[in-house]
Amino acid sequence: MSEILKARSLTKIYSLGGLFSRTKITAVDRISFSIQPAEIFTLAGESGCGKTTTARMILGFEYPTAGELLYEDQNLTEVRDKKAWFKKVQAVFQNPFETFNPLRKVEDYFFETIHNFHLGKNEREAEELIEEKLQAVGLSFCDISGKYPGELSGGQLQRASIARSLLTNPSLLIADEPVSMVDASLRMSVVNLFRKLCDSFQVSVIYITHDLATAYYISDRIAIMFRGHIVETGPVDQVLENPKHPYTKLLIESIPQPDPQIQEKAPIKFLEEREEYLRKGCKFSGRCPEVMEICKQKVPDDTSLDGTVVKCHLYQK
Amino acid sequence: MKGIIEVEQLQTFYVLEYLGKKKTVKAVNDVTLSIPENEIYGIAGESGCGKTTLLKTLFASIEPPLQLFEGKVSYLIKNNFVNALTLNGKEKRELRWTYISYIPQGSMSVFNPVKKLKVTYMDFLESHVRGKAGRELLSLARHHLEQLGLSPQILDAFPHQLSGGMRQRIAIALSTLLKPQVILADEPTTALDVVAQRAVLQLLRDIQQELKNTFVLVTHDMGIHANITTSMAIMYAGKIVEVGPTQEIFSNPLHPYTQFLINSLPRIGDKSSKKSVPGAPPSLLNPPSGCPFHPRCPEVSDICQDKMPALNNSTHKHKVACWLRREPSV
Amino acid sequence: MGVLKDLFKDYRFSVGFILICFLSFLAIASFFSPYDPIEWLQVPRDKAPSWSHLLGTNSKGQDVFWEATFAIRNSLIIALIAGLISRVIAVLVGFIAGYKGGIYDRVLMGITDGLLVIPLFLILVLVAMLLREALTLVSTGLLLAFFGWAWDARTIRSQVLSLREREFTLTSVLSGNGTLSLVSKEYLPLTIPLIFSTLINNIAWAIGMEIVLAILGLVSLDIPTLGTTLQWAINYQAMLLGHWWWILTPVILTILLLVALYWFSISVSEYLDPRMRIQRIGAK
Ligand SMILES: Nc1ncnc2c1ncn2[C@@H]1O[C@H](COP(=O)(O)OP(=O)(O)O)[C@@H](O)[C@H]1O
Ligand SMILES: Nc1ncnc2c1ncn2[C@@H]1O[C@H](COP(=O)(O)OP(=O)(O)O)[C@@H](O)[C@H]1O
Ligand code: SF4
Ligand code: SF4
Ligand SMILES: [Mg+2]
Ligand SMILES: [Mg+2]
Repeated sequence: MSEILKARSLTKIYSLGGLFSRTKITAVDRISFSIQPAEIFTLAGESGCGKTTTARMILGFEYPTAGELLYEDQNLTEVRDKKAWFKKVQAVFQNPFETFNPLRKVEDYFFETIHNFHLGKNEREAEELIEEKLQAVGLSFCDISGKYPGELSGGQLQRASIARSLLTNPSLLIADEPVSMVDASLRMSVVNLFRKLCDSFQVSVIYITHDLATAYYISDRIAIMFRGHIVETGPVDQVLENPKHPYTKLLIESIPQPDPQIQEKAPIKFLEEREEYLRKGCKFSGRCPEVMEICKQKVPDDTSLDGTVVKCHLYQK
Repeated sequence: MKGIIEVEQLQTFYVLEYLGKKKTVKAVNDVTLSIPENEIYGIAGESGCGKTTLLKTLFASIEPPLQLFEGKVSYLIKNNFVNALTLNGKEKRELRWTYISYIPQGSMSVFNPVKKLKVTYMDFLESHVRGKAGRELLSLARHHLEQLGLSPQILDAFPHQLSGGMRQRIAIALSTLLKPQVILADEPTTALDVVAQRAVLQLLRDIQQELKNTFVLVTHDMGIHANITTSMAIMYAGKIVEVGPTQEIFSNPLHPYTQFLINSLPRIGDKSSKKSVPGAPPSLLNPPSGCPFHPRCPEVSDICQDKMPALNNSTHKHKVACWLRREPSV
Repeated sequence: MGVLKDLFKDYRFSVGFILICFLSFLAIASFFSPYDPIEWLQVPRDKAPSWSHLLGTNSKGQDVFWEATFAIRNSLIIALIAGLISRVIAVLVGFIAGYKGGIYDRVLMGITDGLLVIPLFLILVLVAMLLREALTLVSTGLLLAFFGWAWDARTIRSQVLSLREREFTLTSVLSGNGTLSLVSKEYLPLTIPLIFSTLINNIAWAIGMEIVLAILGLVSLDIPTLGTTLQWAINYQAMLLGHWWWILTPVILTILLLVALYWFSISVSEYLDPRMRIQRIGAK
């Protein structure tokens, strides 16, 4: 099957600082990936590695500095009609308590989406559609009707947010850390939902997270990002059960294991992101336990290995 | 054996008045806890269950609309138990930061964005600690940071120049400057990524091992509890529903709620389907009758709806408040 | 109705509200004045308060009470013109600069900063001197409006900038809302308290500025306002000659008006404060 979204050498450079002392940060550095129909693709990495920037470029909120984004072979940077684009690609955000304006009713966003995209002819049709989508996420219209965001729990809000994004029947849903602010007790209900949407509604999901345990649980393929680069990518089982890149190993090891038997962990180094972005050579070389001389000089190339692609000098010939 | 903090039948409620109608939010509802000395003690529970309120009460910082209805919070100070809730303002101030420290929720975002960290910090310290000159405190702080493996130059930075994880670690390090015996930390790892979380946990562990003091660590993330706490309490709707050594709680969770919390945690290498706690958290304005978990409990029976089970008073350290799990009385 | 009931629980609101009602009542009373506000020597001069002249008469042969009703009315007209027009400019500039950003932001903020750095007072005096003959109620109002929006435009812009970063902005955009409905549905409700409090502050500022311009003799002294009344009283050395009722009347009225506006403003903005509103929604 052909992919629905393709990113080719996608790049975003931000200039920071005043008029005279400009530093440039390559928040996303020539990344390439593609999304298949009805799959969950995870972008994982610690904060400040370019995940949100990538999502914003796909949504058209940021303009790529270089590279291209193709949706069904149409170049996205040439799409002028944003509204038509939002019919196909929708998003869910990190903080459910910020997703809706605290002074507006949650249902308003549902009716507005239907009105703006002409999804229903009258109020009754609109309510039916809303009920259908809310049912899909395990809520019903009476749960949210007349309510303000402050009256719903984080889990309910996040599910309402997903339901709203489904109104236009998008083929791609971008979920930027959708569960990191949802209570641990309700987290899996939201995570499970993405799998269900993908399987029964054929929606592809770009799942953005720093938590590899949930990524392993729901996704099909994964890309590990570090300071703008994709450092390892492949099928999720391959990458996480048998990690190759030292950074992937670090991320996996950092998951707080739900097992009190293994409390002590090796101390880690913790570097500030600005410093790492500006680093020459492999951005991870400041923390990498296996760093070599060449790592500090040269950015490693992508190497294909057992169905995964790794960006590390250890694996380069 | 008594711990360093003894909480007895604590009830602190928010009393709200709206258009002449009185409402009470039963945020901490009959909590009894014994927190042992020289360890990291965890309190888990979903948001809105009263964890922050409990910590505020432990810190004896009860301000309207929060009101104390009943109970005692006793601290072991120089071999005497002192009820913190009956101290006057001056006595409380003397204990704060020297004997007990509080790291509030979201403290990484309290630094004033337009001031250097050290300025915010000095403003804060000078209004709390008397008898020490600012300069002296600052050099003490630099030394302290260095000991904990953090660069003292960070104090000269502005908050936006640092990542959330770094700000959080500074906030923790600074609040332990005066070597308090008890440190209350509210969600210190929430909203951080796993790598930053790990760094924060590492710091907490280092401080604890150095000061041999007591940490009360509140977080809704069970993974964190497994990683760092020795014993813990599970809180639900303002009540403590299970307490015990962390290892036992994880290997043999007794309360149905705890079982959900632990069994829903995903792990790499395990693709079996995980389920969250069903339903939604209860409102503490109108908590369910009887066992507050009954509307969501798969094992609910008639008695659960009428009467709240007490924590069983077995001699065992692992206790649970659930009708199903009452052992025959000994 | 619940809104007013809540507000009246705040004594600052009640007092402010009653004072404003009282002063507006005086302003309306001017329409029933038995005297012409401009004519001189309509009544005996320099009489102390009495039943026939509640607040006495002044050296121009006018009834101080009825003159004061005109003064309040005219001062309020000037202040409202200044306040409302400058609000329209401030809101438009603030929202466009904040939301559109880029070149719009740079140009609009350039103009705003330009206005902010020139010594406002000097310019006001200069313009007033040039326009002197023409400085009527409306032109005084417009002049003050023109100089009164810049700072508030900046404040509104910075609030819009921070709102733009909030996630619900993205939700709204993804819901297909265009710029106009985004701004009016999402941002306006959250900025109303700010706009309102700047409006009241601006009205108070305009009342004060008018007095200053009048005392400097830069507005048409024929039209009775709080400022010109004071100016005449000072000119005729009312205080020295013991005609305290003439000079105290505008002074006390001005103080009452400013206090009323201030209390009104802080109580209403506390009530409208989004955090408080969210809490009230929660407590229902
Ligand atoms: N609008 C912006 N201007 C300047 N720098 C930015 C902007 N947005 C993001 N960045 C920088 O780009 C990097 C990547 O950020 P982001 O994509 O938000 O990471 P993530 O979502 O993985 O946490 C960070 O260093 C961040 O500071
Ligand atoms: N200032 C307040 N006024 C009224 N109710 C409050 C206030 N703060 C918290 N609450 C309520 O008290 C309950 C417990 O809150 P909190 O202690 O913050 O829980 P947690 O920290 O576990 O998330 C919640 O239902 C919350 O809505
Ligand atoms: S390239 Fe070198 S520094 Fe980078 S991850 Fe590989 S081994 Fe480590
Ligand atoms: S007491 Fe009853 S309702 Fe409560 S947890 Fe136990 S079985 Fe469930
Ligand atoms: Mg992000
Ligand atoms: Mg809390």
